[in-house]
Amino acid sequence: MLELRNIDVSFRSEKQESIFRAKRIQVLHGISLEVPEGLCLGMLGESGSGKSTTGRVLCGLLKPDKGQVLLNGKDVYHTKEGRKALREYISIVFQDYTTSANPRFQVKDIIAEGLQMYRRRTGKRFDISPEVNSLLEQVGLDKSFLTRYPHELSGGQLQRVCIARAIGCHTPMIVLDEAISSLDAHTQVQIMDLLKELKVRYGLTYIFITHDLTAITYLCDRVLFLYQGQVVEECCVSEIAEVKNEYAQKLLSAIIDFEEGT
Amino acid sequence: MSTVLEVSKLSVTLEKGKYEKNILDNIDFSVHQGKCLGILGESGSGKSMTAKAILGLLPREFVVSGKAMYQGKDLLGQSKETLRQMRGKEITMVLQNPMTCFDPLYRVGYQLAETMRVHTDWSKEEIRSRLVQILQDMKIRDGGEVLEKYPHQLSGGMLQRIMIGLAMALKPTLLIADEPTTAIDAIIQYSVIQEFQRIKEEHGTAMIFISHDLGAISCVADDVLVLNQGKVADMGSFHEILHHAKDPYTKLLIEKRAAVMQKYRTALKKGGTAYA
Amino acid sequence: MLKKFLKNKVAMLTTILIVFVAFVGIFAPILAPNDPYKTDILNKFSTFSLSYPLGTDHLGRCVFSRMLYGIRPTLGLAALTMLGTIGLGALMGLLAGYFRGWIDEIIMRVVDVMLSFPSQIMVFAVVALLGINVQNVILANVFVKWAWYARMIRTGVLKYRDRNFVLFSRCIGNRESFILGRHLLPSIASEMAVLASLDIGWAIINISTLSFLGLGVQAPIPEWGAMLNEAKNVLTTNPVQMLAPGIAIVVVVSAFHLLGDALRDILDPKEANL
Repeated sequence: MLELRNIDVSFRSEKQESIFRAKRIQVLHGISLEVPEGLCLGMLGESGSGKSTTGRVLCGLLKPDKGQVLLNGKDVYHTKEGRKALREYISIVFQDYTTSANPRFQVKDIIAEGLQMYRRRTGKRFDISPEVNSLLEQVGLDKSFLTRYPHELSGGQLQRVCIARAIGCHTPMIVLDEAISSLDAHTQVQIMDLLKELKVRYGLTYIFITHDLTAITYLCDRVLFLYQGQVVEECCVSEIAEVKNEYAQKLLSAIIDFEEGT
Repeated sequence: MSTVLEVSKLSVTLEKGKYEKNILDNIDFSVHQGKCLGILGESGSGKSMTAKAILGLLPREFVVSGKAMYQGKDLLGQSKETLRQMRGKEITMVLQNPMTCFDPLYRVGYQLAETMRVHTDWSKEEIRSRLVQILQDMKIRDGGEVLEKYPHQLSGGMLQRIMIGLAMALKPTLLIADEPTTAIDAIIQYSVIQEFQRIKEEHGTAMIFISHDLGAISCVADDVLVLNQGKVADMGSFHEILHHAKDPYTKLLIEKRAAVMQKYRTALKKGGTAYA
Repeated sequence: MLKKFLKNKVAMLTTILIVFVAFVGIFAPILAPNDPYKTDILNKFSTFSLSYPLGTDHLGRCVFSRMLYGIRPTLGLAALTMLGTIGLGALMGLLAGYFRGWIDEIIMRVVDVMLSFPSQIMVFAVVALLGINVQNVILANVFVKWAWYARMIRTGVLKYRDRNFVLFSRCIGNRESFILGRHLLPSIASEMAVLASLDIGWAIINISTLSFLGLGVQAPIPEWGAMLNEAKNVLTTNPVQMLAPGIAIVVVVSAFHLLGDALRDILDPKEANL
């Protein structure tokens, strides 16, 4: 289980107000959350809420000023074994697919990176190529994509490749940092269906970061509302109508149901 | 209810040396006074191209053919100077990412005043008072202070509302909004959409609302044109598109989004009291 | 990318020219009609003839042969200098840009210091200190120029190190050597190639300037800059002696500059792939 306890993160401010001390802007205030295995946790927040920053902290990419990130009890940022354990536990799919893959890598190399890490980690011996083919098939792309470069793929296709890469790492948990936000409306749904399928097949745990509440209700079990760097509400997706927090309620009322009144 | 814009057989081809690509193929549609036409499509479908082609904003490599009749004149045949004078005054545009629409080096008020200076001969004081009035109409408090700020000091939602205010300032006949709600947060999105509805009702402006978001289009548009890879996939009122779409692409799109909304509704109701 | 390179006329022409010049330099002993060191005072300042295509200089040596042999030090030393500067600069830039923290601070402060010296004077000072020979010329140039490259490359690395594909590799714990070697180095390679091809012109001119001033290649070794130096006294009596190396330097340096310009266009990923 992955846990965040009282995480505080601040960044140096762009404005230099005094000559020697750099002003810091606090982005996260005492974030605490628990992610048990098998859960799909949705993190909902607007731009500036700190959700991407939280994603980075979870992945081991950003060390918090205060607080602990614990993986099965081991501190990830302060112990070597914790850090190692996290690297083997988590992988990530980003929002901006245009920079998510090395533009000089072909699709087969992109996916192979994840598999190579898995192979090195477990010491298992297997051929990379057939595994790459199998992963590609699972995300709904055919063999002709193997030799293509990222700029030759559409957004949806490239995001599928990134998902294949993340699955290839064989990590129990995947962080999806606004993974579908840059895609078109119906592609978003197709990718969400794919994610659902993969979760069942591999028994994965997801942390799904987004600003779209309807995506969370479609895919996730629990939802966490983030506002200005704090967790303002957390509940099961089925209990969403009973949120008490004012901001959460405002979000709910902003959802436009296009089938209403027709 | 007069027709403000009538587009027939609009086609756009990209020609670069020997390379030729068809971007838009025989698009027909019309926009009426006080009504909004929604153009629905995904990225690459050509929806932004349509607006830019009509306004003559495409670079040389794009060859535009067809007709776009605006008040008896064919926009596609007009000189650059005529089009320039019409843009901003009779036909205005609200673009996608409000952060990138403003020059980061100048104050917001200065940039807004620039548009007014070009199209009218109002005095500086009159321009300023009108700008404050516009901001008030957009429910922005302390209009005077906001005008003195730089773009990076304002949020996306506020900038977008300012853009809409500016677009409406000169009381245009036709307002084209290109994905105006895509780059802003859900709560602000809702208020921006309400602005558009208000504009439509109060000023009788004809509108073209381009988006890939069914929700936004459902609120604002009366008629919908669905574009798929540069061709017209479907056309009709929103209700018709929703329930009786002819094109398989449209049907797939509606089906997928409907599934998501259905799940959302289920989640709301499960809690006991359905959220009103 | 290779296709784009082949299609770009400027790139192809300049590359062919440069490769041709390099070949001529390598095969100078075979191609040169005369021995560049052989003097024949009685025959000085002779005009164009079959045995002396560009005539002779003030010591009766064949100008053409000296030009051909002169390619070796001019291009060769420039290439060695470039290798040294880019090698050292890239290493420092990569380390500083990727690891940040105190490594970055230390390297960048050293770079700042190096860049605050007037480069030309530094080169002279180093050469004067260490003695006038070819190795020291190269050393001096590398010593001065690596800092500039380090800074440019560090900027490039900073741009790419926070890209999502690098973050992914860090997230799953991929080795540093993989990230540096397969992600960062190729990403900055195109920028480096452009910088290098533009800068080699500088290197050539620098070597020639030093030789012109008597601090680089010593007489009687033929080198274009040294030839200019020798020709300055006889400009009016035998203009060919100065024109030949002068035009040659201009042509070769221009070729490199044009190549750098064309490379930038080719390697720019934003160019539509049609």
